[in-house]
Amino acid sequence: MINVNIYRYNPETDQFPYMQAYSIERPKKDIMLLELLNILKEQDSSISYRRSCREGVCGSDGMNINGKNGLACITPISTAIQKDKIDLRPLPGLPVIRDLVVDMTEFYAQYDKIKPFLQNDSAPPAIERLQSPEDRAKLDGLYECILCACCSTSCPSFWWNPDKFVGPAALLQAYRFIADSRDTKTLERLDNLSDPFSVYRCHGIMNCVSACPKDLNPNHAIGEIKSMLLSNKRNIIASDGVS
Amino acid sequence: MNIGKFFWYLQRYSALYFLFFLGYLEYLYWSDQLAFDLVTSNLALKVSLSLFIILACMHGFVGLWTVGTDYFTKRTLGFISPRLGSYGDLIRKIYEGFFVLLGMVIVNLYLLTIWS
Repeated sequence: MINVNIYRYNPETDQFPYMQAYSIERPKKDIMLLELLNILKEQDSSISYRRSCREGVCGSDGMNINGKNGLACITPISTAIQKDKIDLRPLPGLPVIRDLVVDMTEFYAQYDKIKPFLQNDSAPPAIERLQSPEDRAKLDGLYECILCACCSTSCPSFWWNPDKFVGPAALLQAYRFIADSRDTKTLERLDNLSDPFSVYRCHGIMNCVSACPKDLNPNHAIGEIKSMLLSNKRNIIASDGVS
Repeated sequence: MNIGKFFWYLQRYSALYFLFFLGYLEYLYWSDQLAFDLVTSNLALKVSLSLFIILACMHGFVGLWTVGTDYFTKRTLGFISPRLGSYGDLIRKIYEGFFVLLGMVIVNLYLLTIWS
């Protein structure tokens, strides 16, 4: 048997959240946690969680699994289970809408703040903006982020200041556009991050790296942004030929 | 230089200064030169000690400001009690004001001791 403890909270009926225990026969195959949740939902249809692609692409089913953030759809129960027990909680630090579903407004507000789109004032070429293979390689490890929020919600700096600290996910995306040779707003992007909270609140504890289900390294991207902010930005940009 | 960059440099360079200054103090100690008379008579030590006190207070304040803006906010105190959270900004200002005053008292006392 597997004991699954699930965080339950329905603001319409519950005064406080509580953990509800479920017991389920251990499946013969090593299924994913999301599949286990689907089986549990057949027993208790009131359990709420987000899911969509069931293959680690949409980032909908981010949750706290035995104390560590991850995606339920790509976490096998064999790796999640500890002493025949699995504790499932919502992503920490964000308001709970219901059970494992959190309100991601603050997370998306930070993503919006970094202007996550290519900005280039020059006239658009006939077909596309070209990029050398070397410049394109700089985006590897950055563009793959699926915005599941596992990293940002594992970061204490984001827990305390989600309205001021941009958070690892959005900073990874900020660097994705700063590093893009086709983007010409590098200085503006850096100026937008130069206050004491947006980037400097990262103290490099690397929870984000540990939590990322896509094995990305937001801490490295944040380090690169800090280096650019602390160096003479104009010299760096001129030597890189970015703008 | 914006304030974020200033704080970052202040914390790093002051920490480096503390390291070298404590090395200097250790050298004085092991060479049997460290005595109160030296603190009031040796100009190099007076200047370096004064700088140490000022930087230590600034370094400490930046750290405490960081802690305050993490834990003494409407949001964080609101986890304990919404009523307490509504006083978050006021509590933080009092907390910061207290440490600014304390830092000024410490700096003045040390500078008076060193230079008088």
